[in-house]
Amino acid sequence: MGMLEQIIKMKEQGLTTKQIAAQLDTTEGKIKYAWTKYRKSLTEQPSVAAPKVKSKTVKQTKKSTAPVLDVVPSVQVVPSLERDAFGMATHYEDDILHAIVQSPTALYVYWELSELSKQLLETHYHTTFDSFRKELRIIDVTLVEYEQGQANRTYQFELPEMTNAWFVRPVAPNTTYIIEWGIQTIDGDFVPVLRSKPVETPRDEPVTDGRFAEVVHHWQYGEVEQPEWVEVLRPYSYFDRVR
Amino acid sequence: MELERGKGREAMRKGYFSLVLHAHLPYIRHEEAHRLEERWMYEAISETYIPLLWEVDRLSRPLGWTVSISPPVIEMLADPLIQERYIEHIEDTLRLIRQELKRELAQKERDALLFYQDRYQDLLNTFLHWEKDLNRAFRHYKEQGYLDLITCTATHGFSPHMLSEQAARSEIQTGLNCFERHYGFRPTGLWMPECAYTPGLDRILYEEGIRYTFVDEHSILNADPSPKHGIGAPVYSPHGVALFPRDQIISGKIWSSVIGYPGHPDYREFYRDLAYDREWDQIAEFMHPEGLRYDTGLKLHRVTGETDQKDYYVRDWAWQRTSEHAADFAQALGEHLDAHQGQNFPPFLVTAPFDAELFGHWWFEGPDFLGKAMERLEDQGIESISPAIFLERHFQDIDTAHVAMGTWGRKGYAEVWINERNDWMIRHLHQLEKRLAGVVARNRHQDALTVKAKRQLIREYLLAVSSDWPFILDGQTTAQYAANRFREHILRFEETERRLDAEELTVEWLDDRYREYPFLQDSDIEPDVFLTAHDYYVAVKREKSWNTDAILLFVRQYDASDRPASELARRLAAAGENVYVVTEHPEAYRFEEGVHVYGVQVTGLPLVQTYNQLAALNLAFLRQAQALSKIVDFAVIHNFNMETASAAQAIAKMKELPLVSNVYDVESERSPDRSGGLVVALKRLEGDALRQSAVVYLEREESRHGVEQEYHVEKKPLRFEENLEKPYQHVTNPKKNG
Repeated sequence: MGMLEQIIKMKEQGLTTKQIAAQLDTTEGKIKYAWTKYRKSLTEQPSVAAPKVKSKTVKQTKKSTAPVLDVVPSVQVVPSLERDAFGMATHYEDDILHAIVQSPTALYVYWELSELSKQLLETHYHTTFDSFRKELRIIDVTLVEYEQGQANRTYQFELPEMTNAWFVRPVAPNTTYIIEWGIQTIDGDFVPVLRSKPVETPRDEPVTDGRFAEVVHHWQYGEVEQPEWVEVLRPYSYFDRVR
Repeated sequence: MELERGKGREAMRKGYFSLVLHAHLPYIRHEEAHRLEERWMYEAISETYIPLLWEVDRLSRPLGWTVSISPPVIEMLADPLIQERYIEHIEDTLRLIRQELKRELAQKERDALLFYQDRYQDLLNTFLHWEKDLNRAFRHYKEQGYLDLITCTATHGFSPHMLSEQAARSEIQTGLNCFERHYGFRPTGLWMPECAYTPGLDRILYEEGIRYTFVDEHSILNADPSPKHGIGAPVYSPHGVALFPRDQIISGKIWSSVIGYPGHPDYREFYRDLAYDREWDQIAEFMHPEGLRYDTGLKLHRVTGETDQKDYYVRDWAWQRTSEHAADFAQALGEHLDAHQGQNFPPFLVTAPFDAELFGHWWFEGPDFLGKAMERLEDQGIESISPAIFLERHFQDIDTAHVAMGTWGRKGYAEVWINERNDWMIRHLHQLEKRLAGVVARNRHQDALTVKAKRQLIREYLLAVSSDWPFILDGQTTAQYAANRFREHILRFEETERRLDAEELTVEWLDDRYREYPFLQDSDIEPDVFLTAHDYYVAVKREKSWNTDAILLFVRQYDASDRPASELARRLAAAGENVYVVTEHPEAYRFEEGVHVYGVQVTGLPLVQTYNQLAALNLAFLRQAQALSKIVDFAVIHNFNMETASAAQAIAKMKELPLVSNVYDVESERSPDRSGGLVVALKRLEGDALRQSAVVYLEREESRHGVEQEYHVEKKPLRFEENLEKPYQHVTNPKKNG
């Protein structure tokens, strides 16, 4: 084995330059020189130093590997996804819109839309996905039941094509929001396609006449089953909506 | 005089001081030698951890300090590879000092070097005294009662931005498990990364046995209802966790480089290192083998003033200065407490939480200052107390309030951890959370390999979720390392998951993965933290024969007596078929005569136009079908209403399922005289759906004309009543036909 090979091997084993020099009975300087030269040769030949991540690209055809499972059959898991130069998925085959707090006056929202959802919209409106006017709708649902169609106020705005995230500013502090991603139809409706869970902006000043004293009291004295305020860290069930 | 008063119990001042030091670094241990980031650990040991231990040892009495040591730091301190490399690092530094001392030097430069020579020798001695594992030292002083120890979440993840309760709980529980393995007990306090709090986090903390944590001043000042003692006392969160607020006035004296002590001209200058004052040849041997220049840790200059002309460090001056600053601090703190002596039940408490590395690493003389400050506090009759002891004494005197999301970061919220520089990360983390829930739900077998795989997946998630990565990207120093580490763990997760699903995993492969980042032992990680009771039910208890060869019926009004849908569903179920109905109904689920009936509804703000209402309805049907598809294998989709045709078509197309359509009437029959946009759209939709159907059933002979003539359906529509017994005998599966 040549000295360089030995050095590479020992480097892989985690030895320091000094330890390698001692093992090979030579000087640290020589080890460093050989190693630096070797590293340089790698970067000069991109094919040798090709990023590892490429090989990690997850490729799986839809139905190919039906895993043998003890209890739960069916259902493939990792769909084949487009990857960026680092090997990271550029999007996920999922339907999710999630909002998080950046500050009392700003929310961050990102979304993923599945091919299935796009297909539905294209089928229903008989047009291509690109031709939809996509918008975000910001809905103030503080202390009202949005599920019942109640909202304090809303505003919406058009999104540029190819966006999958947005910093929503300004929003009001101490306010509960639901965000919807949807399409604005030519006949004047906003059709929500993705909806966030409620998210609450923090207060940015001391309260004088607050809205939590009563609900905290309710909870503290066991008068309610669940707290009457927004808690974002809720359990996520993979089989949600399956009974 | 002061000393005598301090000794008398009656001379004790009213009020308390509580110092909390949080020691944390990301997990930067690499098998490969000479990684630059590993030096962060050496610097923290040399400048902060050991010097703090020296002060604890010097004072040798209960200090009331609380030290939080994060799991990555604990694990790295215990790591033999890090330990050996640290010794080598110290020996290298001592060799460099000796080499430097052979040069011709100014007297002050020589003195500074001699100071470092003694110091590094002391560091080595202390390190070896604790058998290279400083966890032993912290544990020893804790057992002596000199300080209190707590820990932090597993990898310092930013909890308010996690998707699920499970992720936050896994971080908390795994961190506590790791700490307990090394320290032999489970603390009742926990440092939440970045002092980040969000409503509901307290529920998880409480359930995991945590009774107190720390938040920033404004989190308490803005609590609702407004706490009567302001930041002079902790506040209980609604789920019963005491939140201790940082006192910014007192913290600022120590922390701020502008108004605080560390900027004094006598103190050591952080930004001037010997490495940058020497020719390359003089120090090359001590630099990175690839020719990179980095700090030696030998910083020979003092702050001097607002000038680039820095003078040499004079240890005696700095030492004197810490004495003065310690006295000044004790004095100021005493006055601060006196100003609030009107507060009763509980008495005024100053909580002062800091990053531990501030003391020593940034402010070199910080540990000396802290030790001396404790002595001056005693002189002033100020009681230093841990939050744990404070709660023991005053747990009955604490208000409960709603505390909003907040952190101790820039501007007090989350701008550091979510901004245009790092926002690309969050969706990947959330996908990992969802997939972890899926993996533990789907893989319920408890064989060693599967359990090990689940633990490795969680390990990769935890290493990815560290708040250090977005923090570093926000600051833009060593950003590439942070981004690479983040991506690496995401990709390692995906690779592990893929192999698990493909049954390509081996124990050896998992062991190799572990060896690359030997963070946390398997016993620290409980995979089923990601399992909800509901998922357990669905995966294990729910009838498994329900999942195969199922029929999906879309019926807008399942109970309509004039349509055959419910009759068909019951008939099929009685014949042993798995029948799933999705219908428009407020009841989410009922199991009725062998039929699974799932109700969906359009919620939210009302839509004006009928066709758009139908779009929303179709989306609701689609979402339910997607959810069912995670476990139920459908063989056919049967659509009973043209109103739900878009969802039925989309599913049939994307999932390659045969579509069967029932027709009662068609739009041309319903609206013979109308030709508006809605009618046109409905006709088009119906036509598309019928043409795509594998079989079209007519419920009334009268609709045949419309189907055949207006929609040009090529396949001959069949009469439904004639096929009631075997409705799918004419269906061919496009999948099976390839």
